[in-house]
Amino acid sequence: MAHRVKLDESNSIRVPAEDLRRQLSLIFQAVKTPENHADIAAKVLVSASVRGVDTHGVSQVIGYSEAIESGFYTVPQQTSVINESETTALLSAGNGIGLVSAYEGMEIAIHKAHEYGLGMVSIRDGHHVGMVAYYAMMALEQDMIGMSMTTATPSVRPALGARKMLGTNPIGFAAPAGAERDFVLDMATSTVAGGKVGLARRLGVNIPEGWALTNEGEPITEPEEENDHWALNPLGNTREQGSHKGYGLAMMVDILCGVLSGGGFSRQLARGENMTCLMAVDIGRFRDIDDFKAMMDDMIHELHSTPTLPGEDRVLVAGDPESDATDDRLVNGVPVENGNYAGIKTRAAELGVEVVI
Amino acid sequence: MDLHKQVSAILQGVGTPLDHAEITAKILVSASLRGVDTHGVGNAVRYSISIEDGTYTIPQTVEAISETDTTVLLSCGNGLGFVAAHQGMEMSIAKAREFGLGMATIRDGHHIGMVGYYPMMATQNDMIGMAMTNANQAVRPALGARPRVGTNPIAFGAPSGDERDFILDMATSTVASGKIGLARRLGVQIPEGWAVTGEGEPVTDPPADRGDHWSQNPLGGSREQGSHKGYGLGVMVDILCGVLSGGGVGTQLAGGENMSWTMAVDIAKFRDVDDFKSMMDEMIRELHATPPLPGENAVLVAGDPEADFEDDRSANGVPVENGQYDEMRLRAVDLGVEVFM
Repeated sequence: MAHRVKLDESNSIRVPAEDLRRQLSLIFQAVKTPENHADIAAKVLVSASVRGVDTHGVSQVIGYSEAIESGFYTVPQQTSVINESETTALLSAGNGIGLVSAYEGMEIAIHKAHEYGLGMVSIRDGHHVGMVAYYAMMALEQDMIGMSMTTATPSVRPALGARKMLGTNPIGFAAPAGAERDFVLDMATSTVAGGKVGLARRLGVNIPEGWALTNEGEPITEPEEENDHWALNPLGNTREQGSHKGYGLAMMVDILCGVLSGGGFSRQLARGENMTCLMAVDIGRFRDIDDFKAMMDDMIHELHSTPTLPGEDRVLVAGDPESDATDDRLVNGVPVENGNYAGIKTRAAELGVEVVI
Repeated sequence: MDLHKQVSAILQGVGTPLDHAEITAKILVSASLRGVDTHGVGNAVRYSISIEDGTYTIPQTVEAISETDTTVLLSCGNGLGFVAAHQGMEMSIAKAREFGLGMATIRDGHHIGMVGYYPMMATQNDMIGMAMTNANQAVRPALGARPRVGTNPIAFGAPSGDERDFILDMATSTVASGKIGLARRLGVQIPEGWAVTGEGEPVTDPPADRGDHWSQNPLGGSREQGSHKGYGLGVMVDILCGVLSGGGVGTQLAGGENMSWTMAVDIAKFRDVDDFKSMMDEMIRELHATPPLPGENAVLVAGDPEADFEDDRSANGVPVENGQYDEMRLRAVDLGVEVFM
């Protein structure tokens, strides 16, 4: 079964995070990305790899740098403010690197929350933002709650529907704890993220029933290439188990990212287009931050001490697996699949930049 | 209209001030009109009992503990949850009109009924609205075998133009508790996937009481099907309602205690409202036009079933279960208030 599909460590090499950051930044700069933007994009991608979110990690630099070279991404990019109020901003990402515009957008949301308590930014004309929780997590250092969402071209069916109509439209949410680790939720609103099906296909393993259906409503267990004949299920899967909820959340994401920004909802997006919404909440406006964190600690502690289902080791809290991966990978290096490792080095060599990994 | 008068009269009969009784009646009748009968007028009787026995403090004082341009922390004063949630959303809307966004979190509260009501207050003002509420533990965490999180519903509303507004109202568990209670009253089994025993076995006979011997599943149901997502959303609700307000989370709340959270977003601060609404219309039409799965009639959008009920019930009256109908009349007589139904 593929529900624990993970990177195969035996086929990978451990690389220090700092070296990966330098390598990625150099590759971005080689395709004319300004240094400050290259550093941001590298930081976000390496963070995903450090947190074990390998589908959104360092290997993406190859595709992004090709998208820049081909002119699909406009670089250098100009993030511009189309509309602004005390607490809100509508940004155009200028068709640049999505990681950069989302990062800049969250900085604006945080700045507004510092000034007025709340900040929300909706971003149009954008591309892939990578691991969506990264931006929500930017709020944590400021003792704020962060939210982040992003859309994508359709791959998920609506509840009761038999065609893909919505993106996997993930939601990120982060809140700071005290002694415990921060709460960091990062979830596609489909049963699984698209990347898991792709990974299962590459590994040649079956996927469980409940992840995807054909247009005739039959479950898919042998993962196919993405095409028009099948769709991912919304979280909840079936009418009986609440598929309207995953579907409703996906529409909520489309509304906040695509309709509020005017950039378009899932069905209106070209492949590689992604609209994004970011929010920051200054906790200190409501209550003392230390009291907030102490209650977070209490809650997390109680959840961790829940007796488990038979066969399970322990109850986790959102962000735990990623924190575990971070603890390991910052010390022992980030495992990069051999193929990706070679691909990144080749790409660096092609572009004539120093190979530092 | 008769129902509204009756609910308001019953609440006033136990000392609720007129304005608070009217707000509560409006929200309960709205739930009944929209087909959300588990959160409808039938509940007036038990609220009136909670008031009479002192579980609810009436008359209540809803008080701002801390307030800024865009944010407010309210105390519900242990009174009717409806009244504080209604005020929280009104304040969110007023703040959003001035500054773009408004947010309220509410402590010392009780049940707020159909959580989807509050975002609808925002959509009527050309705003996006959100509301959440927590409750004492009923749902297990992913991988866990004891109830630790409430069913913690999330509601989200956005206005459309010609199409009906998008109104999402969902428990973060596989199903709302009311559905299991309803199955029990009707004497029918519940499907596997809704609840498990403390040993992890599926529950199909709806249990009579709450406790450690069983818990509801978070949305997603199993590890393989994404139970960590429903669980994560449930905890998110606990954070915004319970931790941000200081009122407490699922493991800390007594039965009947509920903390709440509301938010309003002024669409016009981002873009022209008519443009927003016409894009909403387009999106909704495309979704309605999706070919359905075999055996299904049509693809719906969140809020469609409730809007259908509202069309019917506004014209033809609200069906009230015989038992509840009698109970409400009896309660009105007991309290010496006029019987309108």
